[in-house]
Amino acid sequence: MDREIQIDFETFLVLSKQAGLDLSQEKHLTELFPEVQAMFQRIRLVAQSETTHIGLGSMTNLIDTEHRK
Amino acid sequence: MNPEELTNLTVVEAASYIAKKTISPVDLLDAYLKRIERLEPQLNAFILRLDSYAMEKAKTAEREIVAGNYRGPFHGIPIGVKDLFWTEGIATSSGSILEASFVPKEDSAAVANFYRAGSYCIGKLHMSEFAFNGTSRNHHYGPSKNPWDFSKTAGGSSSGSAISVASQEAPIALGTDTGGSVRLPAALCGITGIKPTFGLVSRFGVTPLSWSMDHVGVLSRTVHDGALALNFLAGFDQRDPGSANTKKQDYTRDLDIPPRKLRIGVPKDFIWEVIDQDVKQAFWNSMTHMESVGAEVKEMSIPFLELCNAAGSIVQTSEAAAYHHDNIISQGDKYDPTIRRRIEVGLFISAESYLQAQRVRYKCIKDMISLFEDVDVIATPTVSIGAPNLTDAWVQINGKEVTTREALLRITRVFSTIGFPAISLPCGFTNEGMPVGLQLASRPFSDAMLAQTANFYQQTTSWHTQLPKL
Repeated sequence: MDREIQIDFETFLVLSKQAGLDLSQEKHLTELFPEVQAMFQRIRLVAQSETTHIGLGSMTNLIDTEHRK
Repeated sequence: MNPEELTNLTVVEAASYIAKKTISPVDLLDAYLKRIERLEPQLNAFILRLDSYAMEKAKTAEREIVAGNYRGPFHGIPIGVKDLFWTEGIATSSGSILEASFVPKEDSAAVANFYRAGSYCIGKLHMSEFAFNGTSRNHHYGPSKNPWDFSKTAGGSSSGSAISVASQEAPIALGTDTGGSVRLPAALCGITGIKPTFGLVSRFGVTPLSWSMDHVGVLSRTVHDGALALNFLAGFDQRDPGSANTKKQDYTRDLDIPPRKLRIGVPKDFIWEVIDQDVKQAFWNSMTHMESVGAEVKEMSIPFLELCNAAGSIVQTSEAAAYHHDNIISQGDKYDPTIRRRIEVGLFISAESYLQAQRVRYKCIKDMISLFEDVDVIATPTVSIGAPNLTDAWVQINGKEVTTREALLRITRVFSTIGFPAISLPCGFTNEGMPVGLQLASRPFSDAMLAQTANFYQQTTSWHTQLPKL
C-alpha cells in the first residue's frame, strides 16, 4: 500500500476503504491521516537504506542466532 | 519495625529480615496494603487490588517459613504485576475494556517463576491500553499520576509498575518494554528499570504488542533487586518462540565487584537534537562522576540511531496492527481513539516495507555490535525530558515543538528495536524537581555485566535512595 510513499487525502481514503476502515467516520479519518503521513516519512527513511545483501531468517531469533556468544 | 520502615526496605533487605524471621511476611504485606489504601486515591497505580488474596498468600508464606521451608529471597515478598501478564483465575485487562472480563486459565511464565520462588501478586497494575502509549493516560481506567508531582505523567506503558515501586506501594514490579515501556516510566518516576536482552525472559502469557520487539522487564528501587529478580525470571521457555536457549547464571554474583577499566561510549548524534537542558546537565554530571571513579568516557559516532528508531516504529506498528486487526476493524470504537489511530496506521504499511524495516533492524544490530569492540557500555539519557504534564500532547524543547510521544520514546526505542539489554537508573533531577534517568546499554546477553556496571553507579551515588515524600 505504501509503495508510492507519499499520499494525498483522496488516495488515503481509497487505501482506508481497502483496509476495511469505516469511511463514514470522517473526523476519525481526518485525525488518522497525518499519522499515516508521519509513518510514511519513516518508511521513506528506511526505504533509502542499503540492504541488498541482507537476507532474513527467523526474525524472532535474530539476536539469539547471530550474536549470542 | 513500623509500617513506614517496612515499606522502605528494598527486596534484598526485606528478604534478609524474612530469612532471619526478624520480620513477618504478613506484617510486611499489611504495611504495603495500608500504604496502598492511603495513596491510591491520588496515584491510581492499580487496575485491580488483590488485598484479601494477597493476605492469604502472605499467611501461607509465613507458615512455610516458620515451619522451616524457606524458599529463598522472594519468599513472602509481594510483587506488583502489570495488567497484561496472565494470572490464573484473576482478571487481566491489558488496560482495555475489550479484555476487561478476560480471566486467564494459567499464569504467565514470569508470574509463575515468581510464585515458585515464594512470591505472590499484590495487585494488577495500571498500564496504557494494550501497552501502546508512552504516557500514563488510560481512556478507560483514568490517568495514573507521577508520585513526584500528581500533575505529571508517570510515563508508560508500565505506568503502574513504576508508580507502585516509586511510591512504596510495592517493593518490585513486573513490566514490559517494546519501545521503552520499562525504562521510560522508571526514569520519570526515579527508580530502576531493567530491560533484559530479547529472549532472555519468557513472554509466555503476556498480551503481545509486537512479537519481535516485546520484552519482559523489572522495575525496582535498586539494580540489586532487579538482578535478583532476573535470577528467577531468565531462562529458556519453548512456549515463547523468541526465547533464547541460554545457560542459567547468577545475575547478582559479581554485582559488588567494581568493573575494571570500564569504557563508556556516549553517542554524538541523534540524542542531542531533542534534549532538555536539565536532562543533558544531569546526564553529563553522571558521566563526570563515572570518570571520577575510574571509567573512561568517550563520545562516539552512531549515525544509524534515527534509522533504527524509524525501523522499530514500522515493525512495532505493523505487528500491533496484525494482532489487533479483527478487533480494530469491528470494534474500533472500544479503543482509546489515540491508541486506535496508532494501531490503524499499521494497516497502511505494506509487507515490503515491514520486511525492509526488519532488514534495517538486522543491519543496525550488526553495526551496533561492532561498536562494542571499543566500549563496554553505551550511555545516554533515558528520556529527552523530565515528566511532562499529564495532558501535554506536545512539548517545547529548546524552542522546538515535538510530540510528547516522540520526546518520551525516541532514545529508548533504539535498544528495544535491536534487543540489546538496557537499564535506566536515577541520575538527578530537573529544575522542576522531576527525576532524570541515565540509560546504560550493552551487547546481547551481557546482562550480568550491565547490572554490575549499573550497580557500581548506584553504589557510588545516592540518587536511587531519593524517594517522593508521600
